[in-house]
Amino acid sequence: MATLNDLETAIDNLLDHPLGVGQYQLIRPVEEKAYEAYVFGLCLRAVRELGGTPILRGISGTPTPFIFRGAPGQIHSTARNYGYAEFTINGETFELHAGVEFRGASGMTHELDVCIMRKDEADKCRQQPDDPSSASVVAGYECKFYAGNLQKGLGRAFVGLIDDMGTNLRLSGFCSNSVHPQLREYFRPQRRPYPHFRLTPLNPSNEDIFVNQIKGELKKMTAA
Amino acid sequence: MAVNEYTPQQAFELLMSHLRERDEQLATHIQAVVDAGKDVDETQQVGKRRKRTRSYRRTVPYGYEEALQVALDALQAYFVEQPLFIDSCAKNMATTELASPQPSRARWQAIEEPNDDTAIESIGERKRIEIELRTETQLSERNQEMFELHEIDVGQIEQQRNSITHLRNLFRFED
Repeated sequence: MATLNDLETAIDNLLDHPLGVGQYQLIRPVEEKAYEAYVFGLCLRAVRELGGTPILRGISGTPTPFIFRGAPGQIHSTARNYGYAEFTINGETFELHAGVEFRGASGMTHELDVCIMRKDEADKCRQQPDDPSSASVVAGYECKFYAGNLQKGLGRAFVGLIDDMGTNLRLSGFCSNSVHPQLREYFRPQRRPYPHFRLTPLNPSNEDIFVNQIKGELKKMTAA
Repeated sequence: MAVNEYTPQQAFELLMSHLRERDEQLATHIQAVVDAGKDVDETQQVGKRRKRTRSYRRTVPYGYEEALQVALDALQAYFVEQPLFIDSCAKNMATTELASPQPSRARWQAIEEPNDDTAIESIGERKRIEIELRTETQLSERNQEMFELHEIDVGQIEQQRNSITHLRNLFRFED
């Protein structure tokens, strides 16, 4: 029979561990962005598994350090040496970005937490500062870290965003470490984002689904 | 027969009081997650002869035993998943090449000329990864401009996973 003392010790061990409350306090300001960085890393893995060689770049040179934006920003911004990755599959070159804003079909700008886009449009917008058009985006992801159930409004907002991204968008997904049963239903109709719920290293099979979707779509769209 | 000398309610209150002692904000968040309750499907008999039934959604509070598991899930997101995100990102970045440094040029030149496809031999090397804290449009100053994602000892993550599993077992109240 477990005693109250056993329970108290177990709770203290969890909370006072170096990765306990102290870690929470440390990571709190960037918890959302750390999740985006994780999804960005999964995209790199997809490219590598497809036989591509992603290269990390920065807007102003070699990305040492590699900097993730703290808020949505413009692709041409040189406020810091923001990082992105470039890769070529079957002769077509793409870029992988985090937190970049795009011009939707309506003219309104939207931020994609993580996205894969055509390199030529990215180059053009860095050369002649502008927001890239949504037509250049081939994959777009919303990334939400939640300790608890997801909020339904987040799903509705992303569906609205995707609706304004035009028809060139081949892949869209709502990524979260958490889940919401009603959102799963909400995302079910065709053309709605794929619900990548419980996308976390604790569920490697969900990571595989995410990675394989990117591989499949990139392979299909670059096939000769 | 009881398997613990404490009730689910006592266990929940103990967990929350220990959390509150350490971090009020975290405790408030966990309490809010639990207080959101859960949706259940309820059925109701309809019709005069009451042969037909209809079901509807109803939001109800968690029982204390469920609340303990929900609170642990939320703590796991911070204490296990967050470190795993950083570890996973660091590993995927480490196996990616870095672009070679470009000689210093005017900005338009750097853009006009195609990028040099050669990359620094950096595969397998840990990359320095930072997240911007003070954003480019932010007027107010911050003590810290950037947040570096430091490598996390996977052994420590494993310890926290084990602690969560141990607590889940202590939060079981049936044989």
